[in-house]
Amino acid sequence: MNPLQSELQEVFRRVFDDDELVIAESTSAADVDGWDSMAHINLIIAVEKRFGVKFTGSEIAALGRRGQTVGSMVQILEAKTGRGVK
Amino acid sequence: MIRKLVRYLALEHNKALSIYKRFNRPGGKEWATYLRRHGGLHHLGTGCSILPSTKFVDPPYTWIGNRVCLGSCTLICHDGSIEVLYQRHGLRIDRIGPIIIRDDVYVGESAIVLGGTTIGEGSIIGAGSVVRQSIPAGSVVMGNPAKVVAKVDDLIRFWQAESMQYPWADLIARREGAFDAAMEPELCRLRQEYFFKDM
Repeated sequence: MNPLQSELQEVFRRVFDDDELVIAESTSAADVDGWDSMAHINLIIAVEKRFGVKFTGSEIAALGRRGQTVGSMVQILEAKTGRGVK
Repeated sequence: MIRKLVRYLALEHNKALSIYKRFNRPGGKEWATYLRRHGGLHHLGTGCSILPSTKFVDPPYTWIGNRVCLGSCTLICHDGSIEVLYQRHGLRIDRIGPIIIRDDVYVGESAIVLGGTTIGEGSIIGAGSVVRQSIPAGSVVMGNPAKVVAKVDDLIRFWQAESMQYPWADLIARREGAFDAAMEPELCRLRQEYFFKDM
């Protein structure tokens, strides 16, 4: 897990109030207890605050689509923060 | 003509109410007009929309601000259990509190708002919520007991982003308010096509 993903995992743990939560690129809303549409809003807001970025409307819409994974979020974050490791 | 007469009797004279509700089927805005005149609420502001199926159990202790939308919810200011406490224990207790709903609040279907609570300006109360504590302004709340799950400002940002992605986004951009009868058939067709495309 790269540093960005590790930071992201901390955000997930805080938002979903689960210190044991482990995320992978393939993790989607179906894999995380309580990841509903409202939790999704809080997650995105928390991610924005943590990484000092602001998602655009189309990024928000893309991240909200059914079946979207943590990997999609990581990709967008890497592009926005310039912290890509690939 | 008959509908007009029934409406007149209901709104102006508080008569023929059951016929008015059953046959005229007043919408939320019109029912709020009726309630402002005859509902017995302590205060009901202007520009509200209140479905006729909304239950005000204790109207004298209910205060509602401007542009509030109530969708088939229940507002109860008193605690009925004191009757049992009186019968069984001879206790003479009063358990009642006001409900204050500030401006621009939406309360969803089947939500229950209990006495002694204030719902802050611009908040959204999700369907089926049970509001037992006061809610800060600009909150989105859900559940029993109702809890703040998001801020309305954040919700708006997300819902706007999602709306822009729908194939019918151009229609929504032109729609005034939440419903346009003329636009609805086309919207319904486009939504069905989109929602069930894989079925």
